[in-house]
Amino acid sequence: MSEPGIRLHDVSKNYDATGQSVPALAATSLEVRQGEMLVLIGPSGCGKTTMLRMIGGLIPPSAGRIEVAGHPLWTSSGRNQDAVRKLGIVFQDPNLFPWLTIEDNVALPLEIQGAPRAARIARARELLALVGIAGFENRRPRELSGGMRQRAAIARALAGNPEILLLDEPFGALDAMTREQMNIELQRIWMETRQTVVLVTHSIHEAVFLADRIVLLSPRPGRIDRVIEVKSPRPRVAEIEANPEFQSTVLGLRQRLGAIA
Amino acid sequence: MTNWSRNRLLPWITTPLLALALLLSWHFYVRSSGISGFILPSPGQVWDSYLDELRSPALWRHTGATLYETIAGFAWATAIGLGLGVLIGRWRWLETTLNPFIVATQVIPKVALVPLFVVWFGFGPASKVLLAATLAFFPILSNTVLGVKSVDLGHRDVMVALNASRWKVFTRLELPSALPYLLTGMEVGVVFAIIGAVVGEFLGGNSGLGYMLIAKMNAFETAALFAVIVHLTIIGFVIYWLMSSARRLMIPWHESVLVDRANP
Repeated sequence: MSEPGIRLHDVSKNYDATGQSVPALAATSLEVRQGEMLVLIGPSGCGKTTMLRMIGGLIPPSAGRIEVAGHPLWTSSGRNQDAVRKLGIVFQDPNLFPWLTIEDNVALPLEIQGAPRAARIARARELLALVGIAGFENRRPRELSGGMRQRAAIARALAGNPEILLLDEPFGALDAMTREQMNIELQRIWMETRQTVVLVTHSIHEAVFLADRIVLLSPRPGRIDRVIEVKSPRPRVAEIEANPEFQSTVLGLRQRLGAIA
Repeated sequence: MTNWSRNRLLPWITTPLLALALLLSWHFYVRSSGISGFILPSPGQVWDSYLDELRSPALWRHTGATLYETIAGFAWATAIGLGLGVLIGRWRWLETTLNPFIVATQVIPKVALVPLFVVWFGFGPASKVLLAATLAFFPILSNTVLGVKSVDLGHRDVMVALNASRWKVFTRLELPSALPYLLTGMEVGVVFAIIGAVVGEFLGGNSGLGYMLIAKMNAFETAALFAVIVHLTIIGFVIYWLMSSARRLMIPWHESVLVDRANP
């Protein structure tokens, strides 16, 4: 058994709201296996985004330990650079910088690491080809459709060569058809790169389509309700919907979500 | 004719026509009312006087003085407004500390400071540069503060996730985000700087277009007075045009530029 990609040990988060502490996530332990596609799903207020933002090092946990690729994420002196370097994050909004071209946006992580321009651009082009938007290198984000912008955001998250890719409702703002297409694309990209992926979604369909394992969270305070393995072979195709096993997983998840919401 | 080209061409027709109508009514009013040329010269007299002034070295010497004061004052205002604006936008405590003083500098009628500036810096250009800078400073500062505060939180998350240093966050995110705001502040500020320079020249010294206006008034050369006003207006237009060109060149990605391009 190889080293886990991510390990959460009794991690909890409280938010301070007007003097009183509101628990967002109760003490939670979870291991994300290296190279797996793990999906966090749950009703709103279940702490799934909080959990992802903690794994991403954007907010510190109130208690507990997080390890990323074997490194503790937080040390007494703050965020651990060795751990943060292993992470790539895709947000719900593409968050591309409007003043940069697509290519410069994708190359931003490398620029911040101080890579020379030629190397940055070469890598950005390679990634744009991988995510399927070659030819848009010199456009600005505004000139691209929502789906294309999110592809660029995925390329940017991959630029630093992270071992772990975190996605926070990445396709939530897209229309249903683009979303389905992006799910297939994400699966393809992941099968080429084989990163450990943690994806937050509120779409049951998206969860069952993409996941190796689904972690279902229940709200107030957020806690793990159950973990569901999805064994369908890959690459999964859009027609998987007709598969009875797929349908029963979706149905089971829907019923459980209805019960805990 | 498409809507686009009609909108684009329209000002090239309406502007000269309206200007001509104004000049003609001015001309005929002067003609028919028999008003004294000391009170209101005709457009023709103003034009002749302007041509005379354009040939005289005095006008160009005074223009140079005013331009120097405007640009130097504007440069100081930009440097201090930008620097202080970035710090204030970043640190809330600094804003709380400095805000009463910044507001105080704004509620003082700045012209009231001119005698003080003259006492400190004499009748030379320095006191006018200072007045121009004082006037131009505030819009640049307040727009920079707004710009630094308006950095998109999602963009900040990206930089945090990338573990960017403070310096990289500043140069790669905060500065480009704030640039449209800074340029807006500079557009307002540069016009204020001209006002500061001219008003400063009214009140002290013997050079600059403001001084020239007073000299023409005292000499009852009303047509020449108008000519200097026309000259100042043209300078104002040119400076404003330069600033808005800078906007188009420096932030071609921004909504304010894209909207202009879509609806010229």
